[in-house]
Amino acid sequence: MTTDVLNDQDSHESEHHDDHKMTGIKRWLYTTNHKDIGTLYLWFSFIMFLIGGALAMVIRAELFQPGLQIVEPDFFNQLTTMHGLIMVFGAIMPAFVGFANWMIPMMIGAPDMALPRMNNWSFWILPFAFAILLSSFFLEGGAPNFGWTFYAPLSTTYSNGSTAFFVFAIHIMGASSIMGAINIVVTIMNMRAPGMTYMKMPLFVWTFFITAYLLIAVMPILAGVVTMLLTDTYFGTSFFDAAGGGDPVLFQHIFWFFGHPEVYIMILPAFGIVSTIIPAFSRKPLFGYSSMVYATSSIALLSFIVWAHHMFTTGMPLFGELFFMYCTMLIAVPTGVKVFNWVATMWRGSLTFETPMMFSIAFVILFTIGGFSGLMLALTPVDFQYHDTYFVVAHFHYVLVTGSLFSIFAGAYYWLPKWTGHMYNETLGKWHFWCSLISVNLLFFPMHFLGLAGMPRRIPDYALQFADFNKWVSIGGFAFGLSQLIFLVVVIKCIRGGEKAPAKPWDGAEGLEWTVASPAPYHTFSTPPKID
Amino acid sequence: MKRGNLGWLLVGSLLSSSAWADMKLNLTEGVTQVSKDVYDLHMLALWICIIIGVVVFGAMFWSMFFHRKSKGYKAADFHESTTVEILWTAIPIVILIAMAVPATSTLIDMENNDDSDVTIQVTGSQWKWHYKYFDQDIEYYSVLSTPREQYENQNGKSADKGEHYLLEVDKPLVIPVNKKVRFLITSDDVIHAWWVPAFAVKQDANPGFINEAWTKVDKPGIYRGQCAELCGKDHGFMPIVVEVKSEADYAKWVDEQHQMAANAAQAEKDSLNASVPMDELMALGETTYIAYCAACHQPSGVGLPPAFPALKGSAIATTGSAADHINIVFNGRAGTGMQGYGKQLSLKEIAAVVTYERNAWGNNTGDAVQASDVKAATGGASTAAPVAEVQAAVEEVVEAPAEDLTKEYSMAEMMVMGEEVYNKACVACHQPTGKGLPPAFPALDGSIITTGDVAKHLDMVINGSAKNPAMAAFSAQLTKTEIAAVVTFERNAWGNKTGDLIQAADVAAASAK
Repeated sequence: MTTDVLNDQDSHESEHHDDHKMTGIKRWLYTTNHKDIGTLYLWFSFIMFLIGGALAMVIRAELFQPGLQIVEPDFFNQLTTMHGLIMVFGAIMPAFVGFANWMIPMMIGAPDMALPRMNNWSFWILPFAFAILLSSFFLEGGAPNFGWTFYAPLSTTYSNGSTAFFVFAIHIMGASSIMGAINIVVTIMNMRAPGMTYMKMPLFVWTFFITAYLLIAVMPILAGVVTMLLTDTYFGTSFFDAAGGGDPVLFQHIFWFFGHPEVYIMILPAFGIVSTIIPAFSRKPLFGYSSMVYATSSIALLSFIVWAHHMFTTGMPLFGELFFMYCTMLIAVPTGVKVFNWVATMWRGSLTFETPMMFSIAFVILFTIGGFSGLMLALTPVDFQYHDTYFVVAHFHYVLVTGSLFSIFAGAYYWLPKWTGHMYNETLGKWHFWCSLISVNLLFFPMHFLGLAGMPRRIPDYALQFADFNKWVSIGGFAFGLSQLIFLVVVIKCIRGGEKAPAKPWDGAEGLEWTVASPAPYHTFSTPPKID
Repeated sequence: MKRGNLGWLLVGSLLSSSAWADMKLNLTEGVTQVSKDVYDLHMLALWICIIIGVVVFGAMFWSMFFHRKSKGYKAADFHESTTVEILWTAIPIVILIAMAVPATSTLIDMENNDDSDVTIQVTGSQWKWHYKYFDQDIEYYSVLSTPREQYENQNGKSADKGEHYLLEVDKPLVIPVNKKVRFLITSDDVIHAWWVPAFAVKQDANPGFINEAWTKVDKPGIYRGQCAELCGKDHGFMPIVVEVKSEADYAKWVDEQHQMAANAAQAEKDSLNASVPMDELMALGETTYIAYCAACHQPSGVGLPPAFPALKGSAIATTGSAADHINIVFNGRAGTGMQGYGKQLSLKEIAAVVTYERNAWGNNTGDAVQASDVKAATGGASTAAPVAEVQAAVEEVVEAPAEDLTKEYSMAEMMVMGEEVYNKACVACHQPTGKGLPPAFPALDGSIITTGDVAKHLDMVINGSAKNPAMAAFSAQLTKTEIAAVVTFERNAWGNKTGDLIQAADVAAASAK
């Protein structure tokens, strides 16, 4: 993919124009600028990441040794629930929307997102959603304590009174996600630079395009299921109550019909980010671009017909178990294609190992380990043993932390020079990487053993044979949590100053975003570039 | 500094052999054919993943070491190869099929619940398990037996933890070795999951529905597991212990259970005439309270509002009538976490715990409640002991105001009454649509029973099924009019348009046979 851009003209242009920026808080409240909104999303997600992480620290402190030392079991359940909800809906998803906002217009040569006012709105309702969710800690019965999967009837008849707050918060988050997704789709469909056909789009844009469709498809289902939960709890319906002719398993079907595509919503953008970074530091084009596009699309399609693999123990008929097992195993094929493509991209490249590349390589290896445990979990008979144990906890943390989160770090380091106009401190970046890498594996790898040895998830106390591993895991957890403060330092230092970044700080990087100055001017591509 | 410490810790822990000795790293092989098959499948998948990992990561590390810019390596320019891409799509498919074949056959085996020798109903409730042996007339609750002072260490105090800390119960489930034992798993409140790793059995307990699982254990012994589905506050404190006994020991155990049940029933009868002094009631009440009530209402009686209200100073335990208080303890409160303890505690224990709650923590009502008061307030005997339950049920039928068996109802009346009864007694298994949940719970819509011979249909409802223990006898639970109504309903609802109208007198005649 070669691009020929008249970027000189563009960057001069922006210097002459007035930015129309308001000052102080109003700039951020009223902004319709994709870069400002991207920044808001990224900071918001980082704050949520720290809050969710703090909850995880309390969980790990309680699990440091057998016995109940710090928290009551009910509060422990509130911690696990809120940790999950905040990390999924507050940290990972908004971080990706932040990337989308910053990078998609710059990558397709558009001046902004297609729907800038809706963009402002979709961000600014998020803090309210999380304010409502977090305020539930101060309710009489406390915050949601029924797990982030909120299975009925634990979340309805047997709830601690937080269900209404929870449901309202989820509705607002869902509305925000849907608006964000519509904006991404409309922008990509209508605002690509002349000559940029779909198959010339950067893979990053492709993965966000597909993710946005997944969001539009499944967020309404989440909204539906939480509404059914609400009416079951407060208005006397019986969707999930057998006594009134309902079925609690119905809840799980609807939830996971949202929940499984949701898993891919959190990983497909990560694929896009590492597919951008690995070629840049291998100094070699991405291997198998079109097969990457097809693999991403097939993963997205398959994600709609595998939901019940989360429910093998609910008493499904044999036929159902077989169907969902086979479909789930099938996902390994396109996922394998992606991993092989990344390896082939590195193969016979000319590799350097800056922090973004380090995080991307770690992503490929550790995400693949998460993929392996995913394949094992797909086998129904063995899933009966793994289900709801720490093996599952290990699996999804490998996919979401060393997968999604590592890709977010990789992307942040890669584009920080473009965002701030300064190079980040490479030494500190490496410290952040190595501390994170070692601690994250100490944190999550032994969880595989705990799960296989029989430790169920979501328990505040455990039998003595699990004590040693839990101690290590907790130490890994604290170390991983502290390591993230290095990242905060790197980012703040980078914003405040540092070596001046050129327009294209990475010699192997490709794409329109590197044709504009660093930091990227407030308005870019007011005149669209032309692509051959 | 941090990196150094962590690395040292990791290496240090890996090297200390004592740490490895008592630590389990892998899935258990278990003690059943199924669990061994599952283990083999797990190892197969694990090795396949390891081999693929070594190849893929090997290629990556090769690149990282040799294709470096710092070594002056010049990048090649290839970016696609149809051959390679077809190859690495096709090979994984072959590997997947190789895994799917044994997985499918193991799964078919696991789901074959036919031809069981023993059937046990397993019911989860917050936070204990209830076991009911269908053929043996044995049932009991199984509760965590680890003392609270071992796990409640918030105040810094900590009693020494026992060997089976959090994995021990007062009464384990007992099953015979080398027999196919079928479990019918359900729940009274939220979703639980019954899991014994050594059997490779994990099945959700869904309220209002029944799941099936089975096991056939090779080796006598004690096997431990835990609830595996988040079920509220004490999810981590409802273990499962299964004792597998030889056939002779199992038979002996069954006899003992019958003897104990008879003794309990006798004690229950005696307690009705006894007047227990206040201090004895308070002492028994306190132990019972700590064992059954304190998890939610807290040892100090302040509860965890709003889900678990305070008893200290509450209207129910002070100014309200003792009869209402007894009723709540005995029958529970629908739509809340308060379960009915009529099935779990004896009359005497309920009397004691109510007395305790009405006099502890400053609730100085001075009420001393006796077993006979409990019986009077609830109108029935406690069902804690299985034998007592049957007797009570029989008594209840005898004591109930004599039913007018000659009264004739119209078809419309019978259908309305029948639907009510059906929704109360039959719907959980046979479903509102009459389609059932085959194979355990057959369909009634269009079935031979509900459209064929009336006598056989009546016999099934009155006496239960000899072949399928899940079909209980309803003669003790329903009046003859109710049975007549529900049979009429079943024969005329859905697509069953037999037009048969059954009256109480027909049921009386059928019962007499």
